[in-house]
Amino acid sequence: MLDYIDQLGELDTDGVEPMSHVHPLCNRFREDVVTNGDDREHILANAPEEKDGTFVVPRTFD
Amino acid sequence: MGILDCTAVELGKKIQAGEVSVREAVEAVIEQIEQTEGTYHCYITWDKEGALRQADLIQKKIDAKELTGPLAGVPVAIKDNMTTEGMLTTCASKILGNFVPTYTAEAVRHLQEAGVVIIGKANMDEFAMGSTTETSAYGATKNPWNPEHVPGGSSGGSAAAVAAKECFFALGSDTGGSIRQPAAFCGVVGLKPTYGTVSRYGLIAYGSSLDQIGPLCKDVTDTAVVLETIAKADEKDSTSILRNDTNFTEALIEDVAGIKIGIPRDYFGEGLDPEVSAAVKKAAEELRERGAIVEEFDLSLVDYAIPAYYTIADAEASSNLERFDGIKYGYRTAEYEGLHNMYKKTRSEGFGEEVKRRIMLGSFVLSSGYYDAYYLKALKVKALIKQAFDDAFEKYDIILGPVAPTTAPKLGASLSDPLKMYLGDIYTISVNLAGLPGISVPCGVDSKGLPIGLQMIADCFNENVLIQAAYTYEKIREQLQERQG
Repeated sequence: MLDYIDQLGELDTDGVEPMSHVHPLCNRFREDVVTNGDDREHILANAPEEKDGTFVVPRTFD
Repeated sequence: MGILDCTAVELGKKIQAGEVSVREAVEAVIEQIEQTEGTYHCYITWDKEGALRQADLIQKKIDAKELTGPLAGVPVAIKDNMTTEGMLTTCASKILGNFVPTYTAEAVRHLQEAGVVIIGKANMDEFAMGSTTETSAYGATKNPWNPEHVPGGSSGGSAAAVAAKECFFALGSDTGGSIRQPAAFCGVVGLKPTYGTVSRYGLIAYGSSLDQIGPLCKDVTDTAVVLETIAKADEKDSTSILRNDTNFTEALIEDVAGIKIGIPRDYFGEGLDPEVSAAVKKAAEELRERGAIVEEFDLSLVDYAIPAYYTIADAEASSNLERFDGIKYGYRTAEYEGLHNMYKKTRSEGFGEEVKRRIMLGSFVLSSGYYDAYYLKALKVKALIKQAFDDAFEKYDIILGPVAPTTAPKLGASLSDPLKMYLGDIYTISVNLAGLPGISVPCGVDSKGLPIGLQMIADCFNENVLIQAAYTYEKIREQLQERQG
């Protein structure tokens, strides 16, 4: 697979600007206001494990 | 003509006229599903009771003249990578096997506002990674034209459900051909809109700079109506574009006189099945007879689209799929020792082979030391490919070619050799890299009795010319078939 991708190297791309986005867009901003409110119940609805309104994770340090 | 033989728009008219009730339409689809789903497996989830409940609610709104649009009461399938509040959404992966979203994807919400009945969630390749719907963790979908063959992918369940009359139309998503190729393999119409036309909010991300939602339908008219319904700017998707030219049904005009069509010679080289080639060239000839100006040209860089695509798409996938960590939602492994082991086991058990392959490749091309050689190089090649299309669209309104090199392969024939499967995307993926709209329309049947698709591509924001040409071509075929009796 990587050998296959290596054929990109055959192309001369000197001076070509890398294109991350196809449309000439600039960042779009909205007013910095809260629109989603407190949605804890929904956010936790699919948690594999929860406790007292929080996600339960394995101990991360001893 | 039975209810199931209607297009979505025909059914919508009958419902508005009171000739068919929404419940009758839903019951007809459910009866069909109960008969054929055992063979085709188009759906991961379908909900009979829920659909009947929706039907009654929608009927009331139609009777009260609150819902008067063309899609009110029409039963649809939604690809299982779009969230639906209260309905299981698995992305065909074990890692989301228990995920019941608490919100609905924007495109789906627009359909609900138009009054459609959601029958269920269509099968797909896991995380939309595949071209056959065989990488689904919930079993492969079969092609309704011949169940020994694949329906294509990744929106294979969506395409097959339309072809098998298990819905009237479906939503799919297209990252590298995932709407157009299954549409071609299943003999239906599929359209991938210009990047940014349909909100990706609620679409579970694969390659975010390439993903786009679009319709799979029985004909071009339905396609225009559905696209018009879902093409709306959305603040919740930062790449969504406000367009003032989304009256796509206005383009349903039978006329191609003066439309300039370019056929890339490089699309008709080695690897293209002769029967597919002949059907596509015949379609071009028929459009020429109707007044289109058709000529061949060299698009260039076609062979480089696949490596550039798989570098970019996999890089984005590796980043997008980091969120599946067994903590916030989805699958968590049963037994583990500590956090790292939990991540490792959850992801090892939750993801399938193809997804893991792409995450690994994507992580590699983004890794320090290889980033410039692979990822950045691919972004530069993407710029060159975009430029090649820009040059082509200086001369042509439409680029015409095949959708895929062959008709639908047999089940099991593609998965053993991933590179071979990737090569099947050669005519579709550059469209995603360049953000262009593309449509697949049926243009014939091969000697095995499997449908062949014709692809037409336009410049960004020019869906109207695609719809007009596709509509005209569909009429040409109808007239041919009528003459042949």
